[in-house]
Amino acid sequence: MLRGTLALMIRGLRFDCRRWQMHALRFLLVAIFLFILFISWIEYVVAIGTAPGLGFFSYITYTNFVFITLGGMSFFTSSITEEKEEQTLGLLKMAGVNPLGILLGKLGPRLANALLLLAIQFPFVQLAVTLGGVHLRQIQAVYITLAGYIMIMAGLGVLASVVARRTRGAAMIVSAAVMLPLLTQMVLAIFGLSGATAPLLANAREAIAWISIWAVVERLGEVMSLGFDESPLGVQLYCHLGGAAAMFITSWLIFERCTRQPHTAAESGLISRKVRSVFRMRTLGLSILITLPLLVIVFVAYPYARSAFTGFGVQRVPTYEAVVAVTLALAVGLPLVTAIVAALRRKAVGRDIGECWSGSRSLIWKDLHFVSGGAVGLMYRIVLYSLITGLIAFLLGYFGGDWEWSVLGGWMLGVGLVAGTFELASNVGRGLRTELQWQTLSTLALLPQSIRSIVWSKLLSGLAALAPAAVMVLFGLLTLLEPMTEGIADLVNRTNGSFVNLLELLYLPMMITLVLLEIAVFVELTAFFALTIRWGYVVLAAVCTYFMNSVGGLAWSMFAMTLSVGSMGGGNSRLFATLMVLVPWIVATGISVALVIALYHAIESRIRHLAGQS
Amino acid sequence: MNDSIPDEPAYEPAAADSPSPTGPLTPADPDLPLRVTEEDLLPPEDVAIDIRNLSHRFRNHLAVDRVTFQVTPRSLHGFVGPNGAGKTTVLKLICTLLQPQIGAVRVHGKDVGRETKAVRRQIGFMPDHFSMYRQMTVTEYLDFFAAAYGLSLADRRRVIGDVLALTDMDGRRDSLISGLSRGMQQRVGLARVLVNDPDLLLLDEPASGLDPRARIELMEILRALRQMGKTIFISSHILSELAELCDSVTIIDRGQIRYSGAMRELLEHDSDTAAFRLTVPGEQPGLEERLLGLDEVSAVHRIEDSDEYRIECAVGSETENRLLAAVLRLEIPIEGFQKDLRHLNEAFMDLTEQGVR
Repeated sequence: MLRGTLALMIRGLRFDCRRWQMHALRFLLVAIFLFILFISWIEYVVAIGTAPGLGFFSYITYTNFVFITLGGMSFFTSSITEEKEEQTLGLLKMAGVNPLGILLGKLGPRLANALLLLAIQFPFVQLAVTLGGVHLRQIQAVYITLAGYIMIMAGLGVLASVVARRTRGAAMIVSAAVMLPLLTQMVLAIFGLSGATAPLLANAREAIAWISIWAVVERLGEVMSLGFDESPLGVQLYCHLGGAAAMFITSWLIFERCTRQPHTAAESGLISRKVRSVFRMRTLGLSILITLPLLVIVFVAYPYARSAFTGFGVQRVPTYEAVVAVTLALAVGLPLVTAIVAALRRKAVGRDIGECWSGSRSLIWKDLHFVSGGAVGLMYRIVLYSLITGLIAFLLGYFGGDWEWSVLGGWMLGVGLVAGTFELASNVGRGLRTELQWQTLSTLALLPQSIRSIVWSKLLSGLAALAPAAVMVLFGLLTLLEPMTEGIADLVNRTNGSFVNLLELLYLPMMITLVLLEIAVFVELTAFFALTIRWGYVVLAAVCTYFMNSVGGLAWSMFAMTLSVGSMGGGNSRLFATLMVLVPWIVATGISVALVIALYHAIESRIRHLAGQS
Repeated sequence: MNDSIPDEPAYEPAAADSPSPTGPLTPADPDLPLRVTEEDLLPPEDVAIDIRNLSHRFRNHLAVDRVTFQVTPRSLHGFVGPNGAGKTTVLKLICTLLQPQIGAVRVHGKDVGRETKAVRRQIGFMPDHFSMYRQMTVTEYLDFFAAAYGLSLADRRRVIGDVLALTDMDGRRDSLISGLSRGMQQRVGLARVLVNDPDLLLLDEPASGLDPRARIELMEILRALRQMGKTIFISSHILSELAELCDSVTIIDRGQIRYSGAMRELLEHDSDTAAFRLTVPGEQPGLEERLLGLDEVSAVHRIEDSDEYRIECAVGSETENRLLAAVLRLEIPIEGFQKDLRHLNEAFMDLTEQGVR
């Protein structure tokens, strides 16, 4: 067994050593730290921050936390699924490597790489001590905490990878495992605060806090607090190590059972053929049209129903409850209505998913149905976004006091934008990655469409799948329309030819432009990385975008700081205000536009190159 | 998004002594038995594939070195060579996946570098790997490609029916591609390249990995396609089948053309003697001596474990007729008399060098 395990581990480590991407990632990480260190040093020199060392260290710590969370969802989740996808797991078994050997051999190099990424930071981070505000013991405690966090993410990742058929499924399991304890804690907290406090609930909340991977947040807060002087080895570490070991052992025990049947590409798809042949786009559209009036009825009728059941006055029924009722009705009702409509239409239209759209739109049709999940994928998303909206409404209504539609709208806008951006990037990346996996890029490139057209079709199919997120954003915008119009009218009234006020008026469109450009850069980076690396392309794109944002933000604040110092000497305030807003915006927009164009050409050229190679 | 494919030239058609893209080309071997000279070449409009002085380099590796050959329309042209000889590179250059660095490639008179879109509409390329969307059904897969070529809905339905009937896959139109056997997937791949009714089919190792029955059936389909007027350019390692199937052949080795011309010409013995094969019913005592006694015959060998005799004679006018008349005069029962051709394997071994690049 040892020989097989070692062979697998050595192969994994050698493979990673040969890949320039791993070295580039480490280099990028060190570059980020050095940059942040440089900024902290400047803050220290100009004496802006009270404890620049702590500021620097906090930034590094929480950046690590975010990266480990995002990276854990893709880095460890592909450990076994990549063998399943390439149908090489059977070969490993036939070579005499037992399940424990496979698990150790596949997980070991990844774990070593992740811990190495953490270890290379340690010498640089100790410089925070010299900047002041942080002790060596705190640094040690934080890194031990993060190492524990990596271990539990690795355990969770490998377990999900054993259970799931594809990396995507494993990543979804890990995401759910990360989010569920948080949601459970929230729900338990609501019951606890509502007066239903019971020892059972309190204990449940406590237990979830300890086993949850979110315990790391509490531990980090504890370690970063002033006067921390405890052992670097906290309870969190033991809990996470124990949890990781338990999950690894579970993976070992269920390995044979979960990998006995080699899966086929057809089985491993997002949506099975049987399901997608029943749920068609037109069926879904018809079902939505039927469901919408029902939702209005639920919204109007809920207060009366609640009043009838509980004796509450209709006026006293909180609005948020009606919103939650509507979202639940949509989440449950739409699949039901769709199933009924599908059953009624099935005899009439047969089992096909419908004819392909003609010309260059055929590429959009293909990706929409076979990458983004088609009608069923859209329905999943509608249900998911509906539940998220319901949860937000519940939390806002329960804790927020006076109900305001604009607050819900703001949250919907934010969540819709973030989720939509990630979904778009993921769809575009997966669309390209799938072509590489199925070796279809050369066939696609030979169609009488240009490579540019292929790139656009990937983007448009990703956008088409975003309809539920777009509705969420649109709803958010609608609820924010009134306060926004009022704010703009107020600004226009106040402008009165004032240049500064005019700039304030332009601030919103300027910010919107930057956000859209940033989304474009993120999506393009994901597409480019999908054509370059095998897994983790969304995470790597997120890391790069985050880094660019950090650099941009820091550069902006340094520029503003310099201008502020300059304006103290009594200069033209109008000029300073103009410079402070316009110059960074022009620079940021220019850089973003240049990046968007450069990445677009890089993607095009990469596709052409890969099509010629395959 | 409906932007056209750029029409700018990707290369300059080169003269014979043009330098290679990133370094000097190795001088062409004067001893190569290259049968094609500039004088022999037909005007590009009259040929399906016209390749002239084509070179292509991948970094330091010269994959294709001054390749020149032509493929006539409505023919079945074999393209053979050892692994790493440059076959797939040439195929990719013809089908526009790669742009020629030096030299010219024309498909039905259209330059692949300048008129890429028009060329793509005329060709159907089947790569050597299964390039398929395995989650689709056969109909969905073909419908997608037909739609991508801009066929109307009615045309798509008709064409899909036709290509499925031709490839004998009509009964599996609703099957998932991933559930099909290798041979069936190959048929679906062939059906896919036919949906836009191309004049020229470029097939890269279409029979590799297929069982004997699937191979034979595939060859039957290719014969049927040739009868329908398609030009088929087929790269394969299965030489025996190519010898039977193809009208013409090009042999490539180490990026250079070793032979390009009619298949029969290649298989005929290239020497001063002609060889014939005589088949007689059963044992014929003393036949070898009687045959040797004929003036025209220089050597006779009995083929081991058979009733066949290999007769060699000097090449001259009407050699075949004169020899047959002489044999008939011996008044022996004859079951068969035919020119003894080399096997393509032998020709291949003679023309290519040892070792793998």
